[in-house]
Amino acid sequence: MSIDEHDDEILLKKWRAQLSKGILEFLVLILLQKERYGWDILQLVRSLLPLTEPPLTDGTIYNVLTRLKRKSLVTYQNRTVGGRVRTYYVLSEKGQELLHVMKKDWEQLFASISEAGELFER
Amino acid sequence: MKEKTITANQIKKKYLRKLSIELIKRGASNDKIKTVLDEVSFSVDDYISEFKPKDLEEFVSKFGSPEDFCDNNSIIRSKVASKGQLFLITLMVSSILIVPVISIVSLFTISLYSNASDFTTLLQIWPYLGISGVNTGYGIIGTLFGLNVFVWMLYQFLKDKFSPYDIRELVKGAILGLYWYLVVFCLYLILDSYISHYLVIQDMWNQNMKLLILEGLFRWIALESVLLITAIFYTYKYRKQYHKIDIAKPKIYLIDKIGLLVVIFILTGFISAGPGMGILIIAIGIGVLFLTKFTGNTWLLGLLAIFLQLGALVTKMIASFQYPQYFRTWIFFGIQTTETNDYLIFVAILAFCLAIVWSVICIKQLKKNKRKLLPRFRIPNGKTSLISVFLVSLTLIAVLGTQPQKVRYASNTDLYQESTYFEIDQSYLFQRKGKLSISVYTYIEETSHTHYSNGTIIESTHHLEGNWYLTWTPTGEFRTFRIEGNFDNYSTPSYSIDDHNVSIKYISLNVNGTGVLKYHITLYSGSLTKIHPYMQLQFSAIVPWLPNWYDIIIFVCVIFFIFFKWDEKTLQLASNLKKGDD
Repeated sequence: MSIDEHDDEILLKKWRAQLSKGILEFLVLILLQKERYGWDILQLVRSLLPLTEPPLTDGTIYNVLTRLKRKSLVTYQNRTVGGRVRTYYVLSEKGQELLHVMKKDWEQLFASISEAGELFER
Repeated sequence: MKEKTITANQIKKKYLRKLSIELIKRGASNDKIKTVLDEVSFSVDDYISEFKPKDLEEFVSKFGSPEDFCDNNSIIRSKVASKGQLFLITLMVSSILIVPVISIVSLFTISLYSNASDFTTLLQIWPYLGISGVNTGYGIIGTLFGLNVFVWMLYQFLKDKFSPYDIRELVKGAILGLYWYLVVFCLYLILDSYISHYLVIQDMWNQNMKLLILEGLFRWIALESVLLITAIFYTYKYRKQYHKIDIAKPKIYLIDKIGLLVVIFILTGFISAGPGMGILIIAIGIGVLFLTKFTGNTWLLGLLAIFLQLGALVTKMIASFQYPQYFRTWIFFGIQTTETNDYLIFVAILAFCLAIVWSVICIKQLKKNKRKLLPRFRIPNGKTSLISVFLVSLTLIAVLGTQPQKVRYASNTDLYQESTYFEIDQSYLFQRKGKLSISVYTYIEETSHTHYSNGTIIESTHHLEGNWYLTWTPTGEFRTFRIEGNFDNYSTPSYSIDDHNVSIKYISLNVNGTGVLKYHITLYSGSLTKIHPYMQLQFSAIVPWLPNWYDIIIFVCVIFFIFFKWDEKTLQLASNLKKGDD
């Protein structure tokens, strides 16, 4: 592997890390439009972000949930299922408002990237 | 069920401690570390309650290692910042170590210098005997007070800075332990002055000096009470914080307010300047510089600390066979000089320069932190005032006047020589007016030449031959009091011999000013070759309860800090701006 290739790989890793970190909260908010519990969220996030570098740990995803909880963006409820306590999360009204804004931003971003691509094609 | 809860807590604590180490290694800021740990603690709680890991390994494998967590959250290692964290940890550890080191070193080296306090003891060396002066009174207690301030300052710095899950939180426990160490050490010194000289106390009690004894006891009790009350408060708070961590609502106790306590402790510590105090001031100065938020209080306290050094006067005696002479020396920031009063000018200029430098630093910091330079008058709430007044009164009671003091002079030389007689002179300089109550005990050991060379020591005081006298000479005047007797003359009323204690029973003197108390012993050795003189003297002076200038400063400062406060600058309201514009 040449030096350039190695540098490219590092750059790609960094970009992926930043990207996944940047969209993690957004992704969790999208998932929580429907009531879900911790393990369910973990699996879904992992399957949706398979290329994350470094791989997302449970702790990181749980920490996102804690942040959303503390900011009252999600509501939660403990239920006992099969002898285990599960915490079920769902978006709060405040969370829905935030998600709405985030979606608009995302669409704008997506549109900007598409526009940039079109500029290249011309 | 209980076991499981404990295990879960242990997993959480261990994991968060590891995470804190990783964050420190990467040089994250203290604020960042606190935020991350507090946040992750909630996540860990949720995760553990849902997934119930059996041990830390299982938890880490699923939840992710601290390193993974940092990588996921883009907490990148910074070489400069991690060096900064290392420096901070070194400062913390050395700050804690300074407490036992200074107090232990003081104990071991106390015989090396003639200590100074309100009652100045002196060292007079008879050419043939190595007699060292020891005063275990104010010097060490004053130093311990100063150390208390430093420890407390460190606690103030730590109490809000770190998350309860931070590995550095362990330092709080160490600080608390040190605080109790100081409390117990002080208690030991107090009890020692009574227990080891109970005969003197007994003499005084029998001579209708009950009030004096009780007054002294009351003052010591007040002093120890301040220490005990604060120690119990700190412990209570610490335990409460440790066992019931409430990150969202940290409760501030009055005892946490640094200004009041610093004034009480720092200034009482300064009442008697000992050689250790100067070093402490430097330590406290560094502590203030690095550990506290700059407020007007910090500025004022720094100025007080600098200028109070000017009061660190030491009166020292020099040996003289005919008449003990003394001169005054100064201790400034721990450096003692044998120069005369001219040194004061140098010290004053240095203090003035330091005060300017200190003020420039403080004003810059205050401006940077957007704080006002001048304090604002405020009416304190009732509870705060009441507790403040209580603590201040207790401290003033403890420091005003004089507690019974003990002075011990012991020979540190094993004499083995042929000599016809020994002469021992020991002199004490008293600086206060009042009534002195004195008892003198001399512990004497004798060993015959034959037994000594065989390595056997036979102690005996049956063959003592010689005489003694005790005199009082007011400063600049002729001797006004003399009492004397012979060791072989048992008819002397105030002299008695019991086992090895040669005692001059209770003597009471009215003292109208400073003067020198001199105790002289002449012993004819005859066939004896070893004499180990050991003199203990305890005195207690009745002094007026009027405060000295140190006490007045304490009082004024505490009142000042209760009624005045340095506010943060507030932004002008938009409506006010409009009015101004019009």
